[in-house]
Amino acid sequence: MTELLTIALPTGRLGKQSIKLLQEAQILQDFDGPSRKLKILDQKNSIAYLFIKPSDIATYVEKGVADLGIVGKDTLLEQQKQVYELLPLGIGKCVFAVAGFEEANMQSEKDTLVVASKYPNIARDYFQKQGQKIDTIYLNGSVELAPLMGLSDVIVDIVETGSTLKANNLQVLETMMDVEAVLIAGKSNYQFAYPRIQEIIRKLKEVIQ
Amino acid sequence: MEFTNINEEMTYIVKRNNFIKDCSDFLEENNYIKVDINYFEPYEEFIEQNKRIKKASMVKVMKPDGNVAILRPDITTNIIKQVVNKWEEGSRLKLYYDANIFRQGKGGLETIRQFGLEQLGSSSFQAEKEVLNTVSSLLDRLKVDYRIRLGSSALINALFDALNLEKNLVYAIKSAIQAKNQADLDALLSRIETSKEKNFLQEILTLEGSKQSVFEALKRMDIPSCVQDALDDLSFVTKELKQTKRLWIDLSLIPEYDYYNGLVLEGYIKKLPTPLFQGGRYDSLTKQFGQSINAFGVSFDFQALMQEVINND
Repeated sequence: MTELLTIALPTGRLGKQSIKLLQEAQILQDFDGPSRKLKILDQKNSIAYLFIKPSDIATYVEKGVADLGIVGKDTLLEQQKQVYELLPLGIGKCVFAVAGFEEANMQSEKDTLVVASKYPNIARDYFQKQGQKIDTIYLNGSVELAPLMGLSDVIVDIVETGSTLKANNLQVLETMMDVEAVLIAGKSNYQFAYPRIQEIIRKLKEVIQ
Repeated sequence: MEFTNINEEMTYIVKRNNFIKDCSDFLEENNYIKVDINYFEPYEEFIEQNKRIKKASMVKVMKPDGNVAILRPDITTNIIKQVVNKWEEGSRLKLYYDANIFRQGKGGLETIRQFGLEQLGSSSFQAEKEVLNTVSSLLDRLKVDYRIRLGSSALINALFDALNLEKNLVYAIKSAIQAKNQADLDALLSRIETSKEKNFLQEILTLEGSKQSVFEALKRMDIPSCVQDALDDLSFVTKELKQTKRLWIDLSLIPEYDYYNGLVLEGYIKKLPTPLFQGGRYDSLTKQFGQSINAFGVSFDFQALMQEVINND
């Protein structure tokens, strides 16, 4: 009997896109649609799926609880987990950007630029390379509010359509990098599940645009 | 580990001590001699030799003369320094150790117990064969299900020497290879001119699998002459090893430490996120300390190994 493979999928919008991709690639075939279950089993393919908060995916994979995971590159860059990044998946595409008011002065007259972000490590690395001192303020959501309320000069965040920025009179000041969802594997389980992982990569490559 | 009562704790300690004795007895039966390890390393010297190690991860100590030392983050460097000054031509040493290394982790200061074996002065293939077969025998005796990933730092070094790239680009390419990130690797290699070495690097993430499948794949490639010796060495040494079903060739294997210059390896067990054991050939490190000595060693994450054995019990 084929050994069970475990794949960690993110909850939310990226999770829905991931399921669609896995179904198109005929990796996920035995699925009744969304439910509140946190773990489902596709018996036909001998794969278990875990539905996990996006920020926890890489932890489950790194620790070997899941063999594979789908996670945004943004989260991966921020967390610096020891995992293999096997394949960009062409879903969850967006850009990392510095955003703020149009008149925000990036080369701040103050010595230190105040940056609010869910991604303090990425923000720190980016501005360090530019030689700009910053103070990072970690926020867990609605980051756009920070410059509106004077909490920060700018924000560092992922931008998909830019509609939230626009609705709050903010705009992209600098594009930092493109990001998308990637398929990841833990270093140990990759070794033990190698043939099945390669088969999944092959099937995904056939449908990724 | 925390215990609810002293009896449980004592039971665990007895198991641990028996396990340590088992491992030590096994190595001593195989003529390995236990060595003590110094606690401190000079900070500047260490980072000069290991440029890719994160400086923030080292535990620094200020010495009275104002120089900075670090609590040993690695054992191999320490052993070499002890041995090199007293080395005599023709010596052959089989050493083992059981000692903590230290690093700054996310949750504060971490101590990691390492158990390892080193062979110094033996001819290169003999040492590799003996050490790897000893590791296999020890793990078989402990009933551990493991996989060994074998690569070659000589091959990786030869490719980068031939390409002669700017150091930040080398660092970025190595990081992409370590993460098995083909997309980033392609993007980085697009910055350099086409050559056999570049083409080989572009394919390197596919060069993993059983020995047979990797060497079959190599036959279909245009192999740069600079890597031929490293491939011949890898092919030769793998003929001599036990437990070939557990062996895995991975030409993209790049160890954390830069001092390796030949065969390198990492060993994995299921669900352990970091290697259970790792090591390789490090003759070039001995040269940095003044003597070129054949040197090959492997170190175990001792706590993880012990936990695996106790769990399997």
